[in-house]
Amino acid sequence: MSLAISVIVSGISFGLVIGIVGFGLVFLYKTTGVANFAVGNMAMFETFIVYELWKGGIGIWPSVAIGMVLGGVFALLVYLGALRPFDGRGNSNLLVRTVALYLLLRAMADVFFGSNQPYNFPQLLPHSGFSVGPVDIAWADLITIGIILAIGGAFAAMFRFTDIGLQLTAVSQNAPIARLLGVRVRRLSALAYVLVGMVALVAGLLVAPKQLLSSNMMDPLLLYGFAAAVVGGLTSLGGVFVGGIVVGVVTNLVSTYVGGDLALASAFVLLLATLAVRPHGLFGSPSIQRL
Amino acid sequence: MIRRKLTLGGVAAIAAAVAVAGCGSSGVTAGGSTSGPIKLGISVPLTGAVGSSCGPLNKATVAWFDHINKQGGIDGRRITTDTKDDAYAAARAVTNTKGFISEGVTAVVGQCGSIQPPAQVPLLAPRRIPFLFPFGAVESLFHPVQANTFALLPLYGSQLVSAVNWTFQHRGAGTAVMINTATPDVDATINETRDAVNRAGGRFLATYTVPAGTGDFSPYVLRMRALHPDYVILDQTPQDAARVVNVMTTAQFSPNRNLIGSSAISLSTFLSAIDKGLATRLIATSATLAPVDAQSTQCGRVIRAAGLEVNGPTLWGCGSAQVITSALLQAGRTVTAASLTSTLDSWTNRNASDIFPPVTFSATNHLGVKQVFVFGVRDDAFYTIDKVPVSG
Repeated sequence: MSLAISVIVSGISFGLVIGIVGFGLVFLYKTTGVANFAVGNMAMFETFIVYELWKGGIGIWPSVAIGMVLGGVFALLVYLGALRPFDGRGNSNLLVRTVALYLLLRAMADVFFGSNQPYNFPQLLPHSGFSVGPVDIAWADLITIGIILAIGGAFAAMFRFTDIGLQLTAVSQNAPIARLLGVRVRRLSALAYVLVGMVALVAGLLVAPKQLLSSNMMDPLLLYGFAAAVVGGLTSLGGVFVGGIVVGVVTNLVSTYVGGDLALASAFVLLLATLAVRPHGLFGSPSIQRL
Repeated sequence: MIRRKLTLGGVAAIAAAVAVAGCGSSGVTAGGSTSGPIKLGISVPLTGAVGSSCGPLNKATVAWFDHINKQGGIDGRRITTDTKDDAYAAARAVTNTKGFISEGVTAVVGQCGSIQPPAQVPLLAPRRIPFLFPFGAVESLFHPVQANTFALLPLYGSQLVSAVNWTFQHRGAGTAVMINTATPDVDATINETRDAVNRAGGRFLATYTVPAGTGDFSPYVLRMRALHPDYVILDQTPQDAARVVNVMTTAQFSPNRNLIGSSAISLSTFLSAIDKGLATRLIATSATLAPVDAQSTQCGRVIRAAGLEVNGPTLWGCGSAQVITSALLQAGRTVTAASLTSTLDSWTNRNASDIFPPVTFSATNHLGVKQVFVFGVRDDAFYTIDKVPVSG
């Protein structure tokens, strides 16, 4: 029983990291209409930037702070350079661009940083933990949960209490109408990319110390993140975190009690079951079209 | 009429004799020449996924050959190398190997990786061109024995058995769990290791096989932790092994006694990626001497002179080149592929390198290393504790 509880706690922590990757997918989908498959590799590239700053002699936390700013700038440049030009060519066109971006970022990371990868990224969270009865809980897991809930709460507050949040909500619900009402959609899309760039870096910083920093470190999480987004609902920003928790806990329990080779399969079983039974996800809104 | 036929036959015979003599004096034979430079072909990943390790390995190999050339070569014959990048791809290695065959190289050497050799061997074997000492644990290199293929790296399963035997003898028998990266031969490795643990008086508690690309190792670590083992046996790629050890640190789990591994993790890149506290508990095997102990060897000096770091891959590169030049020297001035092969087959406990243990080959055994080094960790570096026979 104590093993099961430990696995569930670890699964929640892992699930929230998946959720934050999925959050990037969903947030960009809602604000730009296109799910960006390059979110994971944006996180990877930005984490390499932080690593290079740290290797250059800047302390790890100042490197993280600088990296946050650079991450936002980097994501903005990605939007302006790869997605903004000719953005009226349709969502399929933009989707394919994100796939190309995924490959390009991987290749660039291999060229600039990859010669001796993987790298040992400094530990940002404590290694210690505590026991609650027979269950051992790692501080790293609890802090991860806290960070991601704080990020989710910050976004929820932004949407609820700020003008920018209101405009982002309008764009995510109906971009053409929002544009007619004077909302500057492209400017908000750029802002969305800046915010996702910073959030993606948080995901990278949580993953790199465990997975080692390498150009493919986010690949497993991208698949899980996609599953989390579908399970939670592609139109629900809060739902993706719940979807991530569901995916994280289920895959960890499957790994522990059934077999590791079924972990990824179980995530996709969840995805397919969701699409079959509740296509808009646990918290997503069904799309209704007026005929 | 008969006289004319005899005369014509005599002319034909003389012409044939002249042609044969001409061929002999030009020194061209299949698989190398008997005069001029000794040409060796090297197909090696200089780019791609393993280029960062295999590139320096290649430089160390060439550095040793240059060192020998500066001392007069092999009985006055220079060693020349033709190095081609295969980017860790079997198809490119095949293309490179075909090029070496058409160039008439004496041997193909210096390969780095386990994907390429199985594709190269079928090209070289029919032509009896020696394929020497690739840096990869590939069973098909020496089982079944191919007349022209020689290896120096025992399989990881054999190494783990040796490591278990040594550790249980010196640190006491105990309970063990094992974690593996999923590979085609993982079941055989697990069975060999389980049998070794049980034979040595220990108890094999559990084994976990992790698919490549796993995003979270926590479930496996938590299961191992629940068993409270004395030993954790790592049968993984160095990257996955480092990830597991890091998760063990986060989960505050360590075996009661030691982590046990093979040459797959006896690399400084693995050591630098894991927590220092657990690193000191590591026991690993290696076919080559530890870098810290190799600094004062000939290879250590040659590697440093070439501006390279003395580490596992460069020691392999230089050490294997030492074995090759030792064989070339013994084969004599008119070394050919055939004489090189028969020279290697004649070796018993030959000290061909100051990096490898004594090497033994025979017509029925082409895995030359019969012992492996046992490494511990001290001051953030591997050091050589002992030597142990290779099992199996």
